[in-house]
Amino acid sequence: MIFRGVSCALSFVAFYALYVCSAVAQEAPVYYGYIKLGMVAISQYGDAASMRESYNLSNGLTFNKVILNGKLAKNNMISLDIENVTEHQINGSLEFAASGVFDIRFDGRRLRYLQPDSGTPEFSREFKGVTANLTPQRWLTIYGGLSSQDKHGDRIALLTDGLDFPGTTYDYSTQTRNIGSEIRWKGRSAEVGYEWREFKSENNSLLNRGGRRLRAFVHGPVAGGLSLSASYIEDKSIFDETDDLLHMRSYSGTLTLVPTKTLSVSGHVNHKNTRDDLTEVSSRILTAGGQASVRFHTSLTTQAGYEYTRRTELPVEMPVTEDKREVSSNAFLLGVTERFSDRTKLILRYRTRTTDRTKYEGLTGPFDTDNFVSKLEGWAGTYVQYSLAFEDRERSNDELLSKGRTTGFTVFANVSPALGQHPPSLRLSGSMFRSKFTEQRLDFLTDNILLSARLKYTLLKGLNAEAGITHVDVRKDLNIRKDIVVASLEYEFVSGYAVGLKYDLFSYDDLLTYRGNYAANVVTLSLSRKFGSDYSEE
Amino acid sequence: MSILKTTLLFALCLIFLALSAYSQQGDIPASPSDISEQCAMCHEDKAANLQGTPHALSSTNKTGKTGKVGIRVFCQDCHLRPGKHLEDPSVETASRAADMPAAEMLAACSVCHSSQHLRELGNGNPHLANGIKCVSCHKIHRPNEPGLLKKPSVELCLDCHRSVSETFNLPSHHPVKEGILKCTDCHIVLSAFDSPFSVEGARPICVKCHNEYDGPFPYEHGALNDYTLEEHGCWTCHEAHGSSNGKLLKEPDRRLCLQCHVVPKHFTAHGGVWADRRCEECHSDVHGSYSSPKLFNEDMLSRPCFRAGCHSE
Repeated sequence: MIFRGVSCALSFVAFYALYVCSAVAQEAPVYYGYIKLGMVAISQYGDAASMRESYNLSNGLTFNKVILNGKLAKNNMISLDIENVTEHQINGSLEFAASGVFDIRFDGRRLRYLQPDSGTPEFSREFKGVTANLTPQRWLTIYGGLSSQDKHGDRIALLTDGLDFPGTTYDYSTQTRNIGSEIRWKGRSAEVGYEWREFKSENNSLLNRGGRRLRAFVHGPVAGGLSLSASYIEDKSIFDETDDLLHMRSYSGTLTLVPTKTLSVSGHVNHKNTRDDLTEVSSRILTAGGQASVRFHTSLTTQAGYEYTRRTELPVEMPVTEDKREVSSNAFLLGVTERFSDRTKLILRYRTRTTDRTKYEGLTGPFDTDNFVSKLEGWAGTYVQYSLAFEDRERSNDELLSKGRTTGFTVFANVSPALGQHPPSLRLSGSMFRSKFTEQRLDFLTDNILLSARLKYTLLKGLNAEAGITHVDVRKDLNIRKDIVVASLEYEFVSGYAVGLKYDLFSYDDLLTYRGNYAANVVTLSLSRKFGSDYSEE
Repeated sequence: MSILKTTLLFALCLIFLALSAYSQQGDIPASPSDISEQCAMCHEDKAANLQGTPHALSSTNKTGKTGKVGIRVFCQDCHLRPGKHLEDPSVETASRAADMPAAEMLAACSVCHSSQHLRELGNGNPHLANGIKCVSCHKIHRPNEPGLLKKPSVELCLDCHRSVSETFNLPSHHPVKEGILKCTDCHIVLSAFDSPFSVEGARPICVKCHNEYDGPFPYEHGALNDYTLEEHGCWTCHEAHGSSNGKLLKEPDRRLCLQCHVVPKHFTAHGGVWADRRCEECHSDVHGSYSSPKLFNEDMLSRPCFRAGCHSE
C-alpha cells in the first residue's frame, strides 16, 4: 500500500513538473548541446572476457554522446546526458529543473560482464531510477525517489572440478523507494529520510525479503566554534518465507571544535547494534575516535592528526567467539603542503596506524599500516605542466608474519607548445609500482608498468587529429601485456557539423597461463553536431 | 504506521501546494536588479552567455511583484563588492573568480547551494585546503557540460588524480573510462581524515550497485566493520579503482585472507585436499551470512560434513 502510494506520489510529481515546464515554455527556449552518432565495425578474436574495455562494444549504430542543455522559460532547465549507448550498454540521465524550486532526474544504466573462458556466459546489471527534489523555500527541500536494480546471468562456478554447488547464476532484483526532507537554517541542516526496499531472488526464495530504513541526520554549528554532526539509522529486514526479522540500529555523532582558524579538534562515536529475532543472535559495535589539525602558515600548510578507534563486538550465542572481541587502533597523520610559488606545489602526507586486537578469537592478529604519499606538481617553463608522485603503502601483521606492500611512482606531463592558432597538446603519463605480499608459506609479487600518451593536433582548419596509446605490463607472478591504441580524425565540414573516423586496437595477452588472450580492431565512422550559440569548446 | 502515513500525506500535500503556487506564479518576481543591469551594459557578453544556465540573470522588474519562489541571481551575488567599480570601471573592486580565495568563493556559493558536496568541502576537505575552489571544476559562464562542469566530470577528476587514472587501465577495474560509471557515482568529496558523514564508511556507496551484500547480516565479516579511512569496509579486501587481480582484489586467492587469518589444519586435513583451495570456495558468504558465523553459505551447511558430521556447529 505504501509502495503504491509513494509510486503514485512520485508519478504525480513527475507529470506535474512536465506540465509546469511545458505550460510556461512561452519564451523562445535556449539550447546548447552536442550529439555524436557512430557506426561501429568490430573484428575480434580470442576470449572477449579478457578486456573490460570491450565488453559492451557491438557492431552497428552507437550513440557516442548526446548532451542537451537548455533553458525552457523562466529558469526552467532541461539537461540530457547520454553516453556510449550500444546493443549491450545504456548509460544516461535526463533532468528537468525549475531552478531553485524543483528538479526531477531520470537515470538509466545497463551493462554486461563477460566471464572468462566462456562461449556465452555473462551477466548483466540494469539500474533504473528517478529522483525528485522540491525546494518550496530556501530552507526546505523535500525529496523522493524510486529505483530498481536487476542482475541476471551466469556467474563463475566456485568449485570447478566436479563438485556440484548450486548458485552459479545471478538472478535477483531490488526495488527501492524513498522519501525525505531536509531543512536548513543559519548554516545548520536536519534531514529525515525513509526508504523501502524489496529484494527478490529467483534462485533462492529464502533470501526474498523486504526492508525499511529510517535515517535522520543533523549537522551545524552549536556555539563558539563548536559544531555537531549526528545521525541515526534504523534498518529492518523481514524475510518473506520465515518472517524472520533482522534489526539494525546505528547511532553516530561527531563534535568538531574550531577555536581558531588554524586549529581544528574533533571527536566521533559510532554505535551499531544488529539483531536476528529468529535466532536471537546479536552484535554490538562501538567505535570512538578523535583528531586534530593545525595550520601554521598560508604558503606552508601543516596538518597533524591523531585518531583513536576502539571497536567492541559483543556477539551473543555465537559458538565461535563467545567472548567479546575488542580491536583498538592508534593512527597518526602528518601532512605538509608547500607552495613554492603560484606554479609549484609540494604535497607530503604520511599516515601510520597500529591496530591491536585483544580478546579476539577470530584467528587474526595485530596489524600495522603505513601510507606515505608525496606529490610535486607545477609548471616547467610556459608550456609544460608536470606532476611527480611517489606512494608507499604497507600493511603488516607481525603475529602472522604477513606483509603486503605497494610502492610506486607516477609521472605526468602535459605539453602545449605555442605553435600556431591551434597548438598541439601532448599528454604523457606513466606509473610504475611494485606490489609484494609475503607470508610464511606464500608470496606474491607483481611489477606493474602503466604507460600512456595522447597527442591532439589540428592539421588544418577544421581538421583535428588525435592519437593515443596505453600500455600495461604486469610481470613476475603475473605476466600480462595489454595495449590500447587509438587514432582518430575529425573534420568540421560545415560550422557545427563534423564527420569522424576512429580506429581502436585492443590487445590482451596472458603469457603465464596462455588463457584469455584477445585482440580486437574497431573502426567507428561518426557524425556529430554542436548546436546552440553558446556551445563552444575552449 | 499511522504516523508514517500522516507524515507521507503531509509531505504530499506540501508538494502539491508548493507546485500549485509555482505554476500560478507569473513572471519571475521583480527584484532590485539595477546593479546587474548596470553590469550588463558593459559586460553584455557575460550576461548573454549565462542565458540557458541556472545562473541566468533574473529578468528586470516587469510587474512589481515581490515573489518568494525561485532563486534570483544577480552579478553581485558572485562578484562581490562591485561598489566603486560601478562608479569608475578602472577600479577593480568587484571580485573575479581568479582572484577569490577558495574559502571566500565557497562562502559565496554556499549562500544558494547547501548540498552535502559543499558541506564536506568546508569540513577540512583536502580540495579546499589545496586551493581547489568551485570554479576549478565548474564553469559559470558558458558551461558545456551538465552540472556546469568545465569538462566531462571523469576527465576533470582524472586530470589531477593521475595515479588513480592509471589504475583504471589495470586488467580488473571499475568501468569508468568505458563511460559507464562516473567518479561522482561513488565520491561526493570525501573529507580529509575520515568521513564523519557516513556511519559505515564506503560500504553504503558500494552496495548501491552491489546490493546483494547490503545486509544487515547477523553474522558479519569483521573487516566490513573497520571504519577507518583507507582500510575501512570493502576496501579492506578490494581496491576501489583497479587491480591486477580479479574482482579488484588487493591480493589474489587465499593470500588475501592470509593478511589477517591463519587457520590451523586447513593445509593438512583430509590429506591436504583443501590446501590449494581458495578460502571463499567454502566461506562463500564472505560478505556476511544469515546463518553461519563461519560465513558458510546455506548450500555448504546442508552438506553432511557440516550438517551432522565433524564440522557441525
